[in-house]
Amino acid sequence: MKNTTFKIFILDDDIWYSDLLEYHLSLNPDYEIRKFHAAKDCLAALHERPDALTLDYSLPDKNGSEVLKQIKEQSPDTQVVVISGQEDVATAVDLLKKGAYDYIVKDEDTPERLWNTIQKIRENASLREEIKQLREEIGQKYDFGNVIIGNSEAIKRLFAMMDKAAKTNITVSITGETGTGKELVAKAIHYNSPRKKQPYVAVNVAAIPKELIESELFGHEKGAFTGAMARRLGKFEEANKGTIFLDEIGEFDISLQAKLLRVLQEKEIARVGGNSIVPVDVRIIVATHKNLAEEVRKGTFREDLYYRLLGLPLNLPPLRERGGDILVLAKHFIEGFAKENGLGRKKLSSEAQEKLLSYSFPGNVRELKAVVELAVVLSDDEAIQEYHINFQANSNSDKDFLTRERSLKDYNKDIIQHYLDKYDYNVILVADKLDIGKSTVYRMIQNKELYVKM
Amino acid sequence: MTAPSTLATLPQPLYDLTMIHKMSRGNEAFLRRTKQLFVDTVPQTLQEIQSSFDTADWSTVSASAHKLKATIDALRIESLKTIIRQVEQDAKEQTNLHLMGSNLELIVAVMSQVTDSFKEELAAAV
Repeated sequence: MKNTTFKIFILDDDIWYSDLLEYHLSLNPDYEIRKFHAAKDCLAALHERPDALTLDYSLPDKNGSEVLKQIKEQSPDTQVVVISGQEDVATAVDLLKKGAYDYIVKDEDTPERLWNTIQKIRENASLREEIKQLREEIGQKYDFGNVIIGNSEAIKRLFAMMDKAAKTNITVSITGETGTGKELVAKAIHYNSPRKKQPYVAVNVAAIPKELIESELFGHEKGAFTGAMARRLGKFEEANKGTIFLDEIGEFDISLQAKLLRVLQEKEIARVGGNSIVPVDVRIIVATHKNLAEEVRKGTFREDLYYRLLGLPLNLPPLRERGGDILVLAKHFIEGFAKENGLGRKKLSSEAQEKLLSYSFPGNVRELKAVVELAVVLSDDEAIQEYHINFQANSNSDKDFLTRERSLKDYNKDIIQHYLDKYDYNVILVADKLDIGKSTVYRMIQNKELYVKM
Repeated sequence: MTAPSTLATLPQPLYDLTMIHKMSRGNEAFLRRTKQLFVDTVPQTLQEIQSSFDTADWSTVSASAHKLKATIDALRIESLKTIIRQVEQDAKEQTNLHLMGSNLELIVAVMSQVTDSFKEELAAAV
């Protein structure tokens, strides 16, 4: 809460009764109370933005319903508790629909009930304030400049496009190599858009088994298949009014692509096993490391869906094309890591900087982060030297594989995990590279032998 | 429809300050203030109700009854709880007007008695 004083107005033409209420509420030292005996005086003071207002429904100068309406117009955040001598359910319901927080019948228990209601209003106000602050923090966290660090021309162009994307509901398609920050960009667009208070739902299409993905995205009805014990909402419904981020859209099965096209065109979904159509209002952001135009030519991706998804294309440049950003990012990661781990100031020597600038970073920003964080750990003093910069983190792992004795099963797990980490948890790609069955990988994930980031 | 009772047959005590005592949490100054406010404001309301009855201004009779209702409930003036509601409704709907006079007479009598009682208590406290 912004401060501890909670402002309450009491509007009641009965001097004796309003005095009673005022005294009772004033027993809480955090409450600042003002009494009014006429509606016009109270309405004139609404600029003070009271947190709560008790309103006697039967005022001589104005109808209670009319006063409520004016209060909500002038001071929408003020919570109004109507106190009435009439035990009239229809009136109570009507007032609650018009925005009253509560309706209390005037009797001997009124002061105590009012006390409890005011406490609830105060708790809710505190929660609302906390949510507002958290939302602001998220907004700041996902401010473009905080999400994508860099000063290169390529990044400045990217910011300009992200800004345009954030201001509209246009579908965004993000392309870029692994580790370039595709999901960060998607989040930043959402949290800087008008939908920022609505859900943001991310789905890594490649990490979900093919037989489950339809149900995962579109939901299912009870009994739709074995194991469907209850209706389940899919990711599109979860993201309703907000944003859905579909990562590795290139892995979508051709049959599922038709369903996705329908969502884009008709803005509706049908749950697996269901007959009814469910409207959805979702902003779509997709990402892929593949060349979708090439996939269209190969016949593995629908051309109509491709053009629907194109929307505003954002290509994230690989790190090697961002010039001086490598050092800007390195400095950012070094400072962050040192601070997080309670380490002293760390600085890159000029030789270390040269070494970083000469490397191609196939793993892009993610790889750079891993390299500099390791360098921070390895350095004993303030200066990070050239020999602390190790681009062979992978081959170190290889050495580790060879020097540490372990079972074949553990070796297999480590190798598969290493590939999953490297290729963005794209199970299909990893299975292809290792020449093993996808189902093997999925089974290991299900058994928690492997870790994937969803 | 309730036939009016006489003061002699009314249950004693006329009022009950338990709720007020509970709310005041032993604050004597508040108790005195509550009684003083009653003494200062209720007689005026009683006059309003009487004069509006005399001029057949039923909406004012109803509004004044409505105002007194909360006070009667808070002070647990049991003898008037039903009658005040009856007067409020009858005046609003302009029904049972033949009973209005006697009902108002009772209300004025009881409330005046309460007022006098408070005056005595306040004087004794000085």
